[in-house]
Amino acid sequence: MKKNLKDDIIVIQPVRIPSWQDIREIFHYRELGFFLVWRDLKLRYRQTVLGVSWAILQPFLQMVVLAIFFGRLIKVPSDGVPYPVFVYAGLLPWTFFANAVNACNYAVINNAGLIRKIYFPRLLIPLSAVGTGLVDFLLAFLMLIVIMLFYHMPVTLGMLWLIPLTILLSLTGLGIGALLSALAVAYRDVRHIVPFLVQLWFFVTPVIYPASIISDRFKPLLNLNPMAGIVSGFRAVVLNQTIDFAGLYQAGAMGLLFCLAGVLYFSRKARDFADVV
Amino acid sequence: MPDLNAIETNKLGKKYRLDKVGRPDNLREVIASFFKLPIGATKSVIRKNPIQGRELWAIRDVDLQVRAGEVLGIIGKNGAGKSTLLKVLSRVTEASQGSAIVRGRIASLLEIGIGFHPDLTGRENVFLNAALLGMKKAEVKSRFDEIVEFAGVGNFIDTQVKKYSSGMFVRLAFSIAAHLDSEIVFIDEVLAVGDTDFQRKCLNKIQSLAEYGRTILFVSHNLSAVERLCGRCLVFDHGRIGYDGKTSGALEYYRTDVLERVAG
Repeated sequence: MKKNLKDDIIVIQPVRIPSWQDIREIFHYRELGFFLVWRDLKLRYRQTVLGVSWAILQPFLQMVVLAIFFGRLIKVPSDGVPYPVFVYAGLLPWTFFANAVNACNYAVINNAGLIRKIYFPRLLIPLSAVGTGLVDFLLAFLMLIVIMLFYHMPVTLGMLWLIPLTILLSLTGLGIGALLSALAVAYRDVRHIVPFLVQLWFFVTPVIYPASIISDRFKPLLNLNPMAGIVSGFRAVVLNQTIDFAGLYQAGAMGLLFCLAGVLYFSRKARDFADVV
Repeated sequence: MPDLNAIETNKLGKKYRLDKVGRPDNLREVIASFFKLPIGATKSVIRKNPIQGRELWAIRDVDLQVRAGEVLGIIGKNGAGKSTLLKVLSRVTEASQGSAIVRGRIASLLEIGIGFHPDLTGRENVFLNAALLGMKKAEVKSRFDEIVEFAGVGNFIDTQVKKYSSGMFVRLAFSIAAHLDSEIVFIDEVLAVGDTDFQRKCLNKIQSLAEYGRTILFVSHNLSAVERLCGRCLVFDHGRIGYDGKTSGALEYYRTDVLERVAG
């Protein structure tokens, strides 16, 4: 099924290897990707009382609850910064990741009607799910700036590091989201396991606690989780602390590996989604 | 490219597995099989199907050439493979065998309004639906008034489509696909809905699309519509092309050979 977009010629064949044509085709269908993101945002914000402010309120309320219980009552160490800033800076990338993975999982099922009837590059489904999460992430990021100003933390140019970190974060979320959503089509019970898996993942990622409480002996193990390095790196940039580059490189390698594996597995499985979804 | 065929297929086939014997479709069974079988055998359970499941060839050995600008009717009983052919050609599902070449963009009206979201307005759905058919926003914008006009939904264009009557819904969906610049149009039994007035309007529209040189594949049980629109017609019978030729001959074949055989 190669498609030469210049001449609009489509060749349909049973066996096929992924190629650059597929990437070009996704680029060709980019408007549809934006439409799917736009549709999801529109529907979600139309249905909630609070509208767009929900994207900001959700992590903010989480931060308040966590700050009370873990910051005040349990007194979790936070590397010498106010716990609310500490935890919000971790929640921000984490929430994006968690929402992206869960959204991919539901998106394939919610779009089953489209998949059965209409052709479009299937990868647009996880791509647009991550894109929707990215918009929420950017809104919630504005709240971070407000919180930082409230605690008199400097907003520096160093925060530009967040751009490559956010790209890495998006790719990791896309890979794992695509992987799990394709698995959920093949194995129906995976669908119900994903939210639980994401919740467990939250606790093995240094979101509500600093990575510094984990002994060096277990660091290599921790860094197998790409989200550990990404969340720590993200927080280090926001709080103007030294970045653990060794950990970040490992996270980057793992994240890109997950991204590649997830996208390839999804593309392979997506070929007969129409028959099984 | 008037001398090139818009669609060419070579022994095209699509196979479905009817049952999934020995092929777990949930993780619980995969894990259970680890305990039930010796370790080595587990892999073969997941990978391969030890007991052959029943197979169904929805279409098989389809050799077909459709000239650019041709209006081809496709008739046959339910489950004869008509819709599967359109699905394979529009790449919704993969072919299991053979190959095909399609020259041009396809707008397919397989089950109308499938991309519509009930909570979005008519206007929003027009743009979303057109994007799903692979069209650019600019293209839709320039045609927007025409689409609304033809659909006859008037002031309802900014109303959520869940409040539309089923007739309005179908009219809008048909109108989008009919007004886009695709070289090839697939129409699958869309005229079954809508009132007679709109049906006539649709037939006229399809006819004018044909006059503009579009290639049209028209699947229908409405034999008189097929007779009116199509110069050539296929009769599908158990996944194979039973007849390929002039529409009058096809209808004759369908009535005598396919339907009679069932009755008798």
